[in-house]
Amino acid sequence: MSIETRLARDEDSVFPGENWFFYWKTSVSLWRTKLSELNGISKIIVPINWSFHSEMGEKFDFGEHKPETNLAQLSEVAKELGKEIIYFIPMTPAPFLQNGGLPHLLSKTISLNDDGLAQSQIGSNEELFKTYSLYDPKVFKAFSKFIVALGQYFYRDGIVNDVYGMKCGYFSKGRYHSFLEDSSREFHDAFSRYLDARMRDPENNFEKPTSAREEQILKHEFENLIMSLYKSSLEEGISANFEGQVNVNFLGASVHDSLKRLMNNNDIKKYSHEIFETVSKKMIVSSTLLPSHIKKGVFGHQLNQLMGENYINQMLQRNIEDDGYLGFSPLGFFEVYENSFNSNYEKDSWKNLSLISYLYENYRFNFFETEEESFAFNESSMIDNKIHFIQGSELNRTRYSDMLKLFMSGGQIILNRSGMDEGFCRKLEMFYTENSLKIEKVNYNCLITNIALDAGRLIIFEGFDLEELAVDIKKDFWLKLLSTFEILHLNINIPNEIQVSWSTRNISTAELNFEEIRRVDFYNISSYKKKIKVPHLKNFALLKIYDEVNVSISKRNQDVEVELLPEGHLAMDFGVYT
Amino acid sequence: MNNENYLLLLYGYYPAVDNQEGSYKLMKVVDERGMVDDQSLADALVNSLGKDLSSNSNQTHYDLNEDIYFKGLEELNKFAYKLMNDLDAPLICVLSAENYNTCMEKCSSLEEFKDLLLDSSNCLENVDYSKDKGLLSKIFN
Repeated sequence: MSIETRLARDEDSVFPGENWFFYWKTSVSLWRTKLSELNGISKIIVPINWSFHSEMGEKFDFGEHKPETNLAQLSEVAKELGKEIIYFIPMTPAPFLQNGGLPHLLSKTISLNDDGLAQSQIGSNEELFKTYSLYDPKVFKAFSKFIVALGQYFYRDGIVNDVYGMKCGYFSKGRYHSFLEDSSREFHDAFSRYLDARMRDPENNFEKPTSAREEQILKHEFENLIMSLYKSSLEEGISANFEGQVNVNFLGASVHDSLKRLMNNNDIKKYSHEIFETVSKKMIVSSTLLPSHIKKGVFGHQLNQLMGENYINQMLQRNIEDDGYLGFSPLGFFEVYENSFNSNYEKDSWKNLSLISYLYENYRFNFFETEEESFAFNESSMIDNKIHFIQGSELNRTRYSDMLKLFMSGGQIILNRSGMDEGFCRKLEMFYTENSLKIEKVNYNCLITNIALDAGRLIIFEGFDLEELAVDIKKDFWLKLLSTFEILHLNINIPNEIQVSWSTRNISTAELNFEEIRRVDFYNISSYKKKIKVPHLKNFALLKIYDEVNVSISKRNQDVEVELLPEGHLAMDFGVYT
Repeated sequence: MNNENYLLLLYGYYPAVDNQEGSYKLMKVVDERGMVDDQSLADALVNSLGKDLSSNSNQTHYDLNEDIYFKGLEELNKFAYKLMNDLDAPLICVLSAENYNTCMEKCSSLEEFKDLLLDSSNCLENVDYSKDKGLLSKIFN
C-alpha cells in the first residue's frame, strides 16, 4: 500500500460532481466567478446546509452575519449568469455534511445500521462525516422551525427557485436504504413510544408484534411515518417553492463502502454498477463523497453521460416533454412495481419469482423498478407503451381502479393475483362479465389468464404456484410470457463487466424515415479486452458510431464487431422503424 | 496508522438468551483489496476450528449466506489468526462493533479515527510475515 497525498482542489470541494454546488465551501465574493465556470450548464443543484444557517438550532442566519448564508444573493448571481438554482433540502441525515447536516447541539446520538455499526462516511477529501439520528423529537421540532424560517426568508426576499425534499440513501445488496433507517437507542425509544401510543388508542385494535417479521414491518411503517412528517413540514413551510421529493443515491456512502474506503479501497466497479441500478430505480446519483481522482476514465464518463442535465430534469419531472424535445431519456420496456419493503424479503417479491434476474439477463437496465405507490394512471402511463408488472397483494382501491383505466386505454399489464384481496378478485370477474371481454386461460406452470381489449392486455397469473419452482423454470416462464408481447429490442449478447445503457429520443425533421432514435453506450469497466457483436437486425438502422475511446470497430456483413480495451467506451445511434 | 496491508475484523456480541450461551458474530473482514471473500473466510473457518465451530458438530460445510458465530473470543481470535496467515497479512485487528462505535463517537477526523481503531483493537501480529519476500517465495509459498 502506498501513501498518496493528493491536494484537494478548491473546485472539487465546491463542485462535488453532477452539477452540485456547495455554497458554504467558498466565499460569497467568488460565487459569480465559480458559477460562470460551469460552461454549458444551465441548472445547478444546491443542497441547503441546515447547520450552516443555524449553529445551535435556535437562531437562523440568512446573510445577516455570514454572507455565505445569503441564498437570495446566490439565486440572483445564478440568474444573472443565465443559470437556474434548484434547491435540495435533506429530509434525512445528509452523508456529505458534518453531523449529517444537523446543528451541533442537536447531534446527540449516532445512527446505527442494521448490524449496529455507526453510520459514517468518508468525504472526497478524507473528511469523516458521522450521521446522527433524526428520531429525537427535539430534532424534528428544530427542523420544522428552520423550515418555517427558511420559507419566510424565501418569501420575504423573493426567492422563486424550486425546492425539492431530498431523501439521501445508499445501495446495499441491491436495495436502496435511506439514511433515516436507524437502529440506535434513539430510534428504539421513539419506536417504543410509537407502539405504546398505538396500543393506548382505543379505536385502534392494536397488539404488540409477536414475531421478528411483524416487528420489521412495523418499524418500516414507523420510518415511513417519520419521513412523511419531515416531508410535510417541508411542504407546509416552503409551500410556494416546494416541487416534490427526490431520492438520491450517494456512491460510497454505505458502512460497507466506508469500511473499504477506510482501507483506501474504492470499488469503482461497484459504483459503476450502482449508477445503472440508480437509473433503473429512477433516482439520482451523487458522487460527492468520492475523490475526484477516481472520477475519471470510463467511470467519469458514465457519471457525465448518465447523470447529465437531461436526466436530472426528467427525474425532477420538470417540463421538458415538448414536442420538439430531442434529448435522450433512459429506454425502458418494463415498469416493475414493488413494495420497497417487501423487496427486501424473498417472499412475495418479483425477485423471488426470478423476474428481476430474467430481465437483467435479457433486458439489462431496460426496465425500471419503482415503488408501488408510484403506480398511477396518467397521460404518460398511457403513451409510454411499457409493460407494467403489478403485485395484486399491494393493490388498494385507487391503484386497482388506475390499473383498469390503464388497461382500457390500451395499457399492458401483468398482474400477480396471489395475495390479492378477495374483493378485488370478485370485482375483476365482474369487470370481465360486464364488458364481455374475451378471456383465454392456459396452464403453464401456473394458471395464466389473458384478457385483451383493443391494444390493451391484462395478463393475470398465480405467483404462489411459481415461487417454489426452479429458477430456470421460472425464467422460462417469463421468456414464454413476454414473447407474447411485441417488444422491439436490439438484443446484443453483452459480456460480463461491460456496462451498457440504452436511451431513446424523438426524431428530428431530418429523421422522418424512423419512429425513434435509440442510443446504446458501452463501457468496459474491466481490466481485460472485451468483444461485442452488434447484429444487423431488421427494424434497426445503424446511423452513427461515435465517442470512441480505446475501441476498434470492424463492420462486417452480418454484424459490427466492437473490441473494447480496458477503460474503453463508445456510443451507437440506431434509427428504429417498423 | 501503520500503512501496511493489515486486516480489520469486526464482530458483534450477542448476549445469552434463554439458557443459550452468548455468541460472537463475524460482521466484516476488510483489507486494502476490499471485503475478504467468502471462500477465504470458509477456508480459515475449517482450518482453524474444524468441525467444532458450533454446537452443530455434524456441520461440515459453512454456508456463508448464513451468519458466522463463535462461542467465545478465543475461537474468534484463533480464526482471525488463521485468516491473517492464509492471506499473508502482517496484522489483523479484531474489534467489536461496540468499540468501533465508541471510536467513532470520540474522534473528529479520519486520521484520528484510524489511529483510535488500531489502539482499541486486539491486534494479532503475523510472526511469519516478511514484507521483503523474494520473487520465488512469493510464487511458491
